[in-house]
Amino acid sequence: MIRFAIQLILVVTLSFLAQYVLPWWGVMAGAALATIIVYTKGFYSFLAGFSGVGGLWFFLANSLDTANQSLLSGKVAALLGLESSMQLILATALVGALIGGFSSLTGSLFASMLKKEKKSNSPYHE
Amino acid sequence: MKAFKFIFSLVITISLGYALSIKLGSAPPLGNFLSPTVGFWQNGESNETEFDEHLDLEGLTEQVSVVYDESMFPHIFAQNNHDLYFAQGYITAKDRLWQMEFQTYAAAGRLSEILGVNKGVQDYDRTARRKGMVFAAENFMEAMQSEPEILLAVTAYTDGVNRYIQSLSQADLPFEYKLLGYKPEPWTNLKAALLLKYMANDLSFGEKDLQNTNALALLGRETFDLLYPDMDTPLDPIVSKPGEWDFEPIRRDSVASPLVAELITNKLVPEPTIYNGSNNWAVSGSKTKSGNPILCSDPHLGLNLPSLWYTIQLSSPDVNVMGASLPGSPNVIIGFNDSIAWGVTNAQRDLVDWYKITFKDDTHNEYKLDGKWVTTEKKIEEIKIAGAEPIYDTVLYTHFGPVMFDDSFHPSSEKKYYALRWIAHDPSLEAFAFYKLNRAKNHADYMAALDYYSAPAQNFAFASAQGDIAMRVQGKYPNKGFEEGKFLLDGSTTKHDWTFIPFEQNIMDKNPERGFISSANQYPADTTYPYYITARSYESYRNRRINNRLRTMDSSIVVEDLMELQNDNYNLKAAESLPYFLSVVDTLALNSNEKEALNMLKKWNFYNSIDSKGASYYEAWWDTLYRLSWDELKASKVALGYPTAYNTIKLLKDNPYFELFDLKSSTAKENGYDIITKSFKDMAVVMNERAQDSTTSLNWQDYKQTYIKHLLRLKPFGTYNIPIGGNHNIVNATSENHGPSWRMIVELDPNGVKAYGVYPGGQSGNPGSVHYDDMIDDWAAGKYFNLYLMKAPDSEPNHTQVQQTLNPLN
Repeated sequence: MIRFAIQLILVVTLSFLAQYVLPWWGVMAGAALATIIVYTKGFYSFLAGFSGVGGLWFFLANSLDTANQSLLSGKVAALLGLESSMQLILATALVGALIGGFSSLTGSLFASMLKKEKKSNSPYHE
Repeated sequence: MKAFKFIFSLVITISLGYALSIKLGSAPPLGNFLSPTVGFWQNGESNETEFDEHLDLEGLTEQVSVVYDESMFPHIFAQNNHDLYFAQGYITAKDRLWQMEFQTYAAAGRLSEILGVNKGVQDYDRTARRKGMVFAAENFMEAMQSEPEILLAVTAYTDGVNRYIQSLSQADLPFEYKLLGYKPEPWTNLKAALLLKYMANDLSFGEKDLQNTNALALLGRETFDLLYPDMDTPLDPIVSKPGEWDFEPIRRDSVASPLVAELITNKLVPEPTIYNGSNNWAVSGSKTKSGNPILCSDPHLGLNLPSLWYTIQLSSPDVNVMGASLPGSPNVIIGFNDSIAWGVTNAQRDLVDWYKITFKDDTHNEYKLDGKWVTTEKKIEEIKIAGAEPIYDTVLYTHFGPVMFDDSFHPSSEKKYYALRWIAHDPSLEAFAFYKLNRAKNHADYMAALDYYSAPAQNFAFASAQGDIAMRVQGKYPNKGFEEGKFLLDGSTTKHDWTFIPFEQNIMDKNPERGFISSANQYPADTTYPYYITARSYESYRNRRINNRLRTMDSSIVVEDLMELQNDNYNLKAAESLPYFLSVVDTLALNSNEKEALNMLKKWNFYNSIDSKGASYYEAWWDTLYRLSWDELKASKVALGYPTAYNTIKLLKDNPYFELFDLKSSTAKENGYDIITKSFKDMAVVMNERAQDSTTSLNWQDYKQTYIKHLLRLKPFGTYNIPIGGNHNIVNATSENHGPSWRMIVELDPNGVKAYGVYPGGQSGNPGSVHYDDMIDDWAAGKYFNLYLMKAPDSEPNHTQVQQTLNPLN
């Protein structure tokens, strides 16, 4: 559990930092790197990436939107056929969650592939 | 197995990333767009607008101060002209980069490059290429080389815009770039030229030579003259000084028979709306309470967001001017300094001619001119298309100009070719004229500045703190024989080449006895002006209303009176036509809906104010009547022009049995009386249906539904049902999506000018800013903002929001 928590924190931190030095897909690299560094089984890694990046994007979008009093998001939501700014924030979070989840899963599977000879006692290991 | 799982997951992840990186249909690349760190979320500005108090800008030579006043209008204080225009470019781009660049794409026929595959857009792009928009801009560039001062200003402005573009990261890009998934390209002097030609297109491409040619062939001379007279009467021209045109005109009487009998079956290219027009006037000190002249100007153009105009003050040791600027081009276009003020309206004049070209054979390599075969110049236009292969269009250039219609573009079955001669193609220095106007101190300076102004022709109203008022109908006007160029011209001869009226023989006036000058797109001069004049159309209501009001006002005019006049909703057209229309309707045989309509119209005071129901009934009636009057013109298989509102009413009154009043769709023979009655009954039905609709009302505001849309026509980014009165042919010329794009009033007080301005939009081009559209309500309500002509950065501390310092970085 602690390992998962650490991994989650690392996903958030790395993907947050990566998007300032890399283009938008930096979040994907960050989320993948996090699960390579701190390994958990596929499902948990997916969960860490999904909730980590999704949560991060939710938080960032929501705070920008609050400062803007939803002026822009209201218009963009209407343009995309959504009903409210909150739906657009959730859609943003969902996109972040999906790319985060799959990136982390890929990272985890990559690590697992490299570590296949090693044994481990961790409950999150195979 | 593990490797397989990994690869499987990797493929999904990369596919996901890829799908979010590309445009899917009309949707933007979603990764870049939705990412909170680089996507559109970054464009939402917090209400506390943040400013860097100090900015280091490479390219400046000395320190520049920028003061943003309470209305967010920037006031730029530079220590030399280079820095002034550099800063103007930088500051304008900061607020309006996307718009100014988009408009240059539109001007150059490059919209497909941004908008992708779309037949309509492609046709638009090809039209712009065939019109020679870039050719025109290049000719401007060449002319500019001869005037180092304006070249320096334009180049510095370009450098300033580029400095801003270079500072942008993905996160900083204006919203629309993210939405459409592209990036700004480097700004160039050519782009500034393109913007001026974009305006020239809006203001000088309106004509109906080909429609006239068709009308003459189809309808005959007598009907043609009734439908399309060269002027509406009574005349209330811009300048009236009968018998006082004391110069020797250059005659062109030798030109024989300009008519080419022809039916032009090509689909014509779109023209700017006939409602592109404006009001301006100036009253002399003899008519004002303070004794100071007051100048007013409100250009009527299509209303869009971001707005066409950007308010700015430009100050250097050489100039101190304020007013409306055109984003993408240096200087102030309509404005004032401490000595003078000027405003412009469009000078209606035929500045486009069409020449029929005879090619030797299908290669189009040679065409006939003065009995010889002359080589055609071929220009291959590459039109890039986002997400598709480019297309190529060969444009044929002749002695007269580019061939618009040929076998590959809006062809006719008879293989006919028409070349375009347009004033905007000529080398011009309008930017230098504005540069000099910005610095003018008196009437002589104004005249000297306008000597550089050739196109698009404008009526320049002028007032000075010295007490002068003046008007100059300025432009480079082709000197025409009677009706020469009103129709298609023979392109096998050079005898219809354009020669020009000398500038000093243009229509102008200074300090007329009546104590005011004014223009509102009417016929420009009294009938003794010794040159032949024609245009697509003239306006005949706003001018008379304005002049009537100004004549009535005695020597006590204050600024508020003129604010009221700019927002005046009096419908002179209705006042002159409605009593006659009502007299025609048989009031004894009306049903209840018709009685209701009649009552509303009888009660009406002729003002198109927002809550007026009578205005809605009248306008509904008028639109129906106009449509019924000219049904056969609309139904024609070849393009035809429409008579003016004024002339339509005149014909209905004076010539009710005119053959065209017969309705094409019915077997009976109708006359003017019949269609007045029929349109009344049709209108009553429609208005009754509307009255049953609980979601709207019959108030003029709800009926008219004035709106302002984003340039990309994105519905949520516009403003709708704006509470503003007026309409076409009314001084407050606000119709559905067209009207006063800038209102300015300047009192030339020698102790400090007092100026007021407003426009339907906001200073920011960013839809995520409160300043995107924050002036619309005030504009609609007829309110104005103070335009402070500051002497120094610290001279209006009570009206200053932010002061920013731009430092040179070496």
